[in-house]
Amino acid sequence: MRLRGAQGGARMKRYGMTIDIDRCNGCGACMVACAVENNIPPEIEADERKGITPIRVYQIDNGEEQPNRRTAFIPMLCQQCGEDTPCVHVCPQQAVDIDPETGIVGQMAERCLGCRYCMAACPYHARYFNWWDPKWPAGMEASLNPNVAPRQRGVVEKCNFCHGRRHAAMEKAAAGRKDIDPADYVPACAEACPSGAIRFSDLNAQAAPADSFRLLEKLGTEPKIYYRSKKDWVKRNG
Amino acid sequence: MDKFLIARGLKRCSTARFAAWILPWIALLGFGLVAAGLCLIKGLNQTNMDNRFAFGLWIFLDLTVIALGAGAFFTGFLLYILKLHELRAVINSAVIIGFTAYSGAVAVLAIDVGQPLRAWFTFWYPNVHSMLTEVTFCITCYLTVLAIEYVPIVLKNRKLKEVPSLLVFEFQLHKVMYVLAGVGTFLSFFHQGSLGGLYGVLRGRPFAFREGLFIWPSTFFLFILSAAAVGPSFVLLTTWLVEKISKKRLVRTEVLQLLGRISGLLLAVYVLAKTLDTLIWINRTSPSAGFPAAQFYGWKPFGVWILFAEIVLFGLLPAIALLTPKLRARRGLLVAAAALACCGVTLNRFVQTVQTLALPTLPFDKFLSYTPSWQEVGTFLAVVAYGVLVYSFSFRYLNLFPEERELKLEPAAPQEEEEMAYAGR
Amino acid sequence: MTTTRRTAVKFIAGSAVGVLFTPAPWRLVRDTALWSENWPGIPRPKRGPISAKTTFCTLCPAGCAVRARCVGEQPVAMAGVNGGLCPLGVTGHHLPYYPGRVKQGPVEEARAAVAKADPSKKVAVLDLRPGRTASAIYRKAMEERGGVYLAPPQPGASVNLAAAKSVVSVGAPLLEGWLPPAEVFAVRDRFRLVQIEAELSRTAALADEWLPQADVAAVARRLEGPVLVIDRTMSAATIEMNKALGGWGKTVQAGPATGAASLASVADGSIGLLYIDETNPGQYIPWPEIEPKLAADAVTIVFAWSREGYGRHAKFVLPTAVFPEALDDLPNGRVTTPLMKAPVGVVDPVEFIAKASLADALQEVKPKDEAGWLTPYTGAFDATAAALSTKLYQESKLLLGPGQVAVGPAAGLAENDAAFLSTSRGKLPVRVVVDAGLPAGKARFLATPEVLDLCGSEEPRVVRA
Repeated sequence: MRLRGAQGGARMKRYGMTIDIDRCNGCGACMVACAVENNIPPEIEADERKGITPIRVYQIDNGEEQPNRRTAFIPMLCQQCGEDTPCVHVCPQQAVDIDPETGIVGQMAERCLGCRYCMAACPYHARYFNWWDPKWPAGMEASLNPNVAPRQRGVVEKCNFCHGRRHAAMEKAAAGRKDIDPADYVPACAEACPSGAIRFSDLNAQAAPADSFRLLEKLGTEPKIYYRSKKDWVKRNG
Repeated sequence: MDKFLIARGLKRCSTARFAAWILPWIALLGFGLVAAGLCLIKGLNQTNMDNRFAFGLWIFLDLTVIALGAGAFFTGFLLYILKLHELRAVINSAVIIGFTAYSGAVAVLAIDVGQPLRAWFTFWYPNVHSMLTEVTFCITCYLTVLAIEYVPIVLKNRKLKEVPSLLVFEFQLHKVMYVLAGVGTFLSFFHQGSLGGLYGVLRGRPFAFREGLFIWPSTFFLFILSAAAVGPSFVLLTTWLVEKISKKRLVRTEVLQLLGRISGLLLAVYVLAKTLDTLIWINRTSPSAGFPAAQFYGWKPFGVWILFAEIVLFGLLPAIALLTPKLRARRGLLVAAAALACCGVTLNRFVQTVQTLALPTLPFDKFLSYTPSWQEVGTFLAVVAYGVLVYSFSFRYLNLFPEERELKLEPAAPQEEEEMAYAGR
Repeated sequence: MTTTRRTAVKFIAGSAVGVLFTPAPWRLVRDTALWSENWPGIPRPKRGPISAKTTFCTLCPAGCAVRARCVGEQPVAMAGVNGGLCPLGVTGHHLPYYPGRVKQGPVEEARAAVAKADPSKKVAVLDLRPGRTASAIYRKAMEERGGVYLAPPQPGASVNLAAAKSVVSVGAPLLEGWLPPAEVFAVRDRFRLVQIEAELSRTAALADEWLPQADVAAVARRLEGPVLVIDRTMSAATIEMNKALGGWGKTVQAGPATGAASLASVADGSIGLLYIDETNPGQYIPWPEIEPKLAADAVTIVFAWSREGYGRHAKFVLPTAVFPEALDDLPNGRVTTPLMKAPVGVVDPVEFIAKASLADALQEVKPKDEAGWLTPYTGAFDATAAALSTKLYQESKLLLGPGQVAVGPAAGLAENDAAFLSTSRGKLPVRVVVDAGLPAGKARFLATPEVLDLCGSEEPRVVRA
C-alpha cells in the first residue's frame, strides 16, 4: 500500500488534525463527504450502532438543565495514535500498521480477518465493522470513487486519512520528483467542512496550538487529533 | 442391536432408549446448524453484535468453554507428569470433554470472524505482539494434541480392537502419551494465559487493563490459575452428571474427592491472587489511567456485587467447601461447590468480555446493553448438542471409565456410609 | 506385483505427502485470499480519464461554486471552490440515482390536457425558485397570457454580514444554512453573535451569547455597532429595527424582487391550469393553501424529479433533470454547467410552459458582483433524497430523520415512544427523540412536504400514541 521512494528522501511527516469544537455546527458534511470519498454505501438496514461512519459527529453537553444547559458538537474519527497504538498491537495478522513516513495508522481491508479484536481495543470507538455486504441504490455504483476499493462484509474499516488522495498527490509529485504539495492532499472531511472546524496538517511542520487538548491523554496512546475550544466545560469533558 | 460395539462386561441401555436420548440433541444440533448457516451465508448482521459490542455471546462462551475444558490438560498433567494414578479413572472422559469443548469453540470462532477463508492469515502473517496470534497458534496445536489423545480411546473400542494394525498403532500411541501430556500442558498454559492476556493488554479499556510480569498482564496468570482450578471441578461435575443420567457408578469416591481437593487448593490460590490483583488495580493501575475504579461499578446492572459474587460467592466459598474434608465428604456439597466454582469462572469470563465492552470509555459515551439474537444462541446450542452427542456416543461405545467394570462387580455399599468412612481417614 | 490394500494405502499416503512439495496446494490456499477479496456482487468503481469541472450547486439558492471530480462523464466527488459544502452539496452527484426518481411521465397526455384547458379560467405558474432566468421567462409568458406568476414568500431583505460588528438573531438559524455556510464562517470571527431563541439550537450553541428570551431592542443597544438584527424571514418589524439602528444600505437592504403575485391576491377557484416548477428545492407552500385557488376541474402539472412534493397532489408529474444534469442559473448571474446527461424522457419546463429556450436565454446572462450581500434561504432542507443522508439520521443520531419528532423532557415522553404529530387536519405517526435543549411545548421535526401539508400555518401538537 505504500509507493516506495516516491517522496525521494523528504522529511518524515506526522499527519494530524486540529478540530475547533467552537466552530463545529454539527451539520454532518464531513460524515457524508467521507462516505462519498471512501465508497461507503448507505447502510439502509443499519442503526446507529451498526452503521459505518469513519468520522462521526457526536453532540455533547454540560449535563445541566435549561437555562444553564450548553451543548457542542465534536467530530470523532480515528485518532491516529502514535504511541503504543492499541489496534496495531492487537491485530493477529498485521492488517493494520503505522506508516513511519507519515504517522498514519493504515487499515488493510484485504488482510483483515474480521475478528474485531481491534474494535475491542480502540477506546475511541473509531473502528467500524462491515456487518453487511455493500449495496447501493440501483445505478449509483457508477458514481463510486475509483481511488478506493469497496470493502465486502466481514472486515473492519476506519479512517485512513483518505489514503487514496495521498496516493493521487504522490503520483502527481512523483512526476516532478518532489515532496507532495499540501494543497493536493486534503482529506475529504477537512475539504468539505463549511465552517473550517477541521484542519489537516503535518504536525512536524506546524505543531498543534498550545491551548488544544487531546482525548483520553492519560491512556498514553499519543493521539494526533487535537481539539480546541474556548469553553471550559468542553475542556473539562475532554 | 449394537451390542457388538459395546465393550464387554459393560451394561448399556437398549438401542431404542439410546435413540430416544440422542434424538432431541440431534434436533437441537440441526436447529443450531441452521442458525450458524444463516450467519455464514447472510453475514454477521444476523447477530446482535454491533460496533460497540464487537464481541458478544460467542466470545464469552468460547472463553468459558475453553476454561471448563481445561480439565483435559490439567488432568493429563496430574496423571502423566505428577503421577496421580487415581485420575486414570477420569482421564478419558476429561479428554473427550476437552476435545468437544475445543473443537466446538474453534467451530464457533470460524463463524464469528467476518472472513473465515482468511483464517490462515494469522499463521502466515503473524503479529508477534498480539495475544490473539498466540491464542490462535496454541489452540490449533492443542486441538491437534487433543485429537491425537482421543484416537487411542476410540481405538480401544471392542470392534476396532479386533483389527491388529490398529491395536499395534494404539499401543505405540500410548507410549507417547507422556510426551503429548507434556506438550498439551505447555500449550494450554500459554493459551489459557493468552486468553486472559487478550483483555489485560487493552490499554484503551482501563476496566480490563492490568499491569503484570514483564510482557504479560496479571490476567494472563489469573486465567491459567482459574482454568486449572475449575478443570478438575468440571470433570467432577460431568462425571457426577453422567453417573446420575446413566444410573451407574463410574468412579470410586476417592477419585472425586481428589479432584475436589485439587480444585479447592487451586481455587484458594486463585482467590488470593485475584484479590491482590483487584486491590492493585483499584489503587494503582486504574487511577493512573485517569479512571477511579469505582466509576466502573456505577453503571447498572453491573454493580460492586459482581466483584463480590466472583471472588467470594463463587470463589472463596467453594474453595473452603472443597478444602474441608468433612464438607467435601458430602456428595451434595462436593458437587455444589464444584458447580459454584464453574459459575465463578463463567462470571469471570463474562466480566472480561461483555462488561468490558459495555462500559463507556469516552466522557460522552453512553452505557449500552446487548442481548444476543436467536441465531447467536442457536449456534451455541449447536455446540452444546455436539458435545452431548459426541460424549453420548463415546460413553456408549468406548470404555470411558476404566473403573466402571470393577465397581459393577463390587457389592454396592450405601454411598453415604462409604463417604463418611473416607472422610474419617 | 500384487496390488493389495496396503499398496493402495501406501500410494495414497505417498501422494498426500508428495503433493505438498508441488505448488498446487499452496496456490489453492493463496487463492482463497483472492476469492475472499473478489466476491461477486461487490461493485468495482469504473476507471477512466479524470477531469475537474466547475459548476454551481442548485440544491438551495445559495448556489455555492463546486468543483466536481469526474471520471469520464461521471462526477464522483463534489468539493466547494470557496470553502466547504453542506451535506447536500457533497452528495449532490448521487441525486440522479435517487431510487424514487421520476424518469418517465405522461408528457403527451399533459400536452393534450393543456390544449383542452378551460380558457375562461386563469393559467398560473408556481415557481419554487424565483429569481432565475427561467423565472423571468415564466413571468413574461404569464403576462402575455393574462395568467398569474406565483412564488413562495421570499425573505424581506438581504444582509451583509461582513459589514456588521454584532448580530442579534431572533431565532434565525444563521449557522445552519440560512446563508451559504462557507460565506458565513469566512466572516464569523468579525462579529459577535447573540442568539435569542427559546430552544438551544445549533446556532444558539455556537453563538457568543444565547438568551432564551430578551428584549431585542435592549440587546441591540448594548452591543458594539454596526448592529444587524435578523429573524428567520426578515420580517417587516425586523427591517424597521435595522433601519432605526442605521443599518439600511449598510447591513440590510431590500431583498430581490421576484415580481410574483401573492397567493392571497388570487381569487378562489380561478385557476384552471396550474404549472408547478419543482425542479429546484425551495420553500414548499402547503397544498391546503393552494387548493382553494383551483377550479373544480383544474389540471395541475408538476415538473419534478421526485414524487414526494407536489407530485402527491398533481394530475401529471413530468420528469425533469436533477441538479448535476440541469442547465439553470442562480441569482447574480451564476450559470450552471451540466455535468451529466439527463435520461431520455425528461421534460424542460421552460420549453413546455413558455415554448422558449432556456439555453438561449442563459447565453445572455452576465455574472454580477454582489459585494457581500447575501439573501437568506427560508425553506427546509430535506435531505432524504440523498441516499447517504442515512449517515446523519439513521447510522448516527446527528440529525432528525423523517418520521421523528424531538421534544423536551417536559413533554413527558420517552425516547423511541410512538406518537402523533397532530393538527386539525389530521395526524402523522412519528417516533420520539428527547432533546433536553427544547423547552416545554416546543417540538422539532423534519419539515417534509407531507408534514407541511398537515400543518399548514398551524403549530402541530405532539400526542402520545
